[in-house]
Amino acid sequence: MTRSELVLVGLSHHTAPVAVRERIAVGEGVVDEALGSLRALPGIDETFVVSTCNRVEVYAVTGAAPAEAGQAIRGWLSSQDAAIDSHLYEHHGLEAVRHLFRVCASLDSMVVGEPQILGQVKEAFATAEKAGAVGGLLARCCRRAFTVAKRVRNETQVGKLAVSMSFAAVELANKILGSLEGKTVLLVGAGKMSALAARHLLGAGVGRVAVVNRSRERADELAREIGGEAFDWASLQDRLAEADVVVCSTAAPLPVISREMVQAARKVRRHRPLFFIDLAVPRDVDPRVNELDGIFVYDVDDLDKVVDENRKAREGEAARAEGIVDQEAGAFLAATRSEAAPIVRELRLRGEAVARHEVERTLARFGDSLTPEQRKSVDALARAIVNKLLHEPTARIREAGERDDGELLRAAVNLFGIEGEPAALSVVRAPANEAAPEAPNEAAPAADAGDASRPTGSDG
Amino acid sequence: MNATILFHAGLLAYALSAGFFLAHLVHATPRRERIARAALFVGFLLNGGAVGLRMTALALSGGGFFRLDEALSLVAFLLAGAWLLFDRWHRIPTVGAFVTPLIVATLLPAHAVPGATTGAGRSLGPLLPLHVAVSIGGLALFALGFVVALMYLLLERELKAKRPGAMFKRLPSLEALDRLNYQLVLLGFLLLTVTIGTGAFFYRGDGGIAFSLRSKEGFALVAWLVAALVVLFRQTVGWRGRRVALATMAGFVLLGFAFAGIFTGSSV
Repeated sequence: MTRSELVLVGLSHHTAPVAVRERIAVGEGVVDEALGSLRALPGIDETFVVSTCNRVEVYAVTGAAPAEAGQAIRGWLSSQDAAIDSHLYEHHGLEAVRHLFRVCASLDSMVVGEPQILGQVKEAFATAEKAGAVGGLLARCCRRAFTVAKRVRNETQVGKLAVSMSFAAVELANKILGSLEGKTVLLVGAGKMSALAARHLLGAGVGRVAVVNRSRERADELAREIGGEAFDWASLQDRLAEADVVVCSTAAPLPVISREMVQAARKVRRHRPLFFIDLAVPRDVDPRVNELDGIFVYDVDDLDKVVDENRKAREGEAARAEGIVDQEAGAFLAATRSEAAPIVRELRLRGEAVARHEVERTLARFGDSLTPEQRKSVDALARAIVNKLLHEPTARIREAGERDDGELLRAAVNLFGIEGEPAALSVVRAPANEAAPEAPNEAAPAADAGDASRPTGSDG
Repeated sequence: MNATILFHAGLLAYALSAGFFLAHLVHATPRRERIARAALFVGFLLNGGAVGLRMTALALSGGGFFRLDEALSLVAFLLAGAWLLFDRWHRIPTVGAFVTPLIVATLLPAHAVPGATTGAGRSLGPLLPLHVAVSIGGLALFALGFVVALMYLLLERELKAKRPGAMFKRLPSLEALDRLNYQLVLLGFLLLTVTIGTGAFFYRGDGGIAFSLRSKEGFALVAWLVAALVVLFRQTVGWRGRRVALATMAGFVLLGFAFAGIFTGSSV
């Protein structure tokens, strides 16, 4: 029996600069196409793609040799840009599970503890689920990762101590401009990160927020949401002359703010300092703008450097969180690797269903003559009988799983009438579209509020 | 106690203060900050005593001239006083790490050649005290401006390089430094204008020559021009930031040459 394995190939802010990441970012508009071509690769049963401004990662489940699947994914990523291979990392099995758990728990983020990444992975997962690209092991792994992220958040201070990239940007703005009281912020692009940054800046005392977006409708919407003012895209040059802080997060493939534009604006604004926070990948602001006197441009990588020290301060808490992740990843893999797990689960579900059904029938016959305590006792009795009856068989099945005794497992499937081997053993090898029903997704992915056709968010 | 002993004791206290302020810059501790401030204050009092004794001696003798050490001593005294006042309002010990070495650097030439005297003639008239006091005040302001401009450039460098470090953590905002720098230049420019005005008057009264372009006048004029341009461009097109900082530093260096010219008497 072939054992399915989780494989991860990707790059992140740890291994690749923004200039590389922006070249292979998988835009929102092309995710379905990407998932389709990934699933067409040999040996790939399930897959989903996480693409944010700080990482591009392909997760897959393969029934073939993990190294072969990894090679196929590498080939696929390199077909976007041949030069990226040296920036890629690859994990299999436990390491891949651990990595996904770490990413979701925001332990691998640019700013450890920043919550955005969880929403971004959930969004990527939902997209893949909708496209039918995930369903079995990968789906379970993702859902477990979301639960682990929640546990890390609740049990450690990582999330609470985290400073976001936006916070770092506010700190920088204060250092450049002095007080932010009464200052004007210009949002170029109306994505989620713009909204987040705007809220931080408003919290820091900014007086006015202007929004410029290619889609005027979206600009109006965001302006209403944050109490700002929307303007046409054509007025960008004029707005530059008024602003003190400019937050960029458009989907444009080329810079929308050139050195010449800023130079012209600088004269009108009488050389007042101007601070650009470029959250877009690919970048929105020509890097040469930073060379101009009194103009400061920080992209996502630059902000990473700024928050580096805060990251160090959180190392203690992060270590605890890593402990949780290690423990959970090990437990998840142990459970899924046991081929007995789905049979045991199915057996228990059936036993519980029988007990519940019989208890309901019995209680209905008694009508209202039983007290609540007596009803509880009947319920407990039925469950206890089922548990006792199933205890020995489930223990034997688990043992069979541990020693890879496929014959006994098949016998158990037949004996207990668990329908269809593939469904019962879906964890061993589950085609994405035929997976057994799962527990409801614990958190719906955030609605897409961006105007981008590629990711504008950040897990940093 | 004579002025020379006070002068040297003051120099020592200033050096101690500079050492502790610099140590505080590397690794900030409340103790270092406290000692640095106390040493600076002691240095200021000793320095003030030396200046006071010399002034009294000059007044009693019915006239005379500043020697190099006395003039520099007065500059250091004004500089320390200005910073102590500034520090009362802003409490930014990092500035101390820049100002105190400058004070020490101001006093060191005086320590090396204490006897040098001004090359100016003896009949400069009653406006001399005003001329001297205003010019030294102007120099002290430019010296402080130099320090603030240097801080601006260091912080700007960190921000441009996107590697916020010691300056980022310890200095006030670029905007605050730029504003303070401009205020110092503006005030320094006014004092420099008065200095040059009174200086020109002496020459006319002295020998009928409208202006003798010796080194001090030449450097002072260029420094004045630089300050005038800064003020003019700030008011008209909003000049600020790096170029104002660089102009301030240039202005201070030029004034330093002008001041040195008093004692060398060399021509431009």
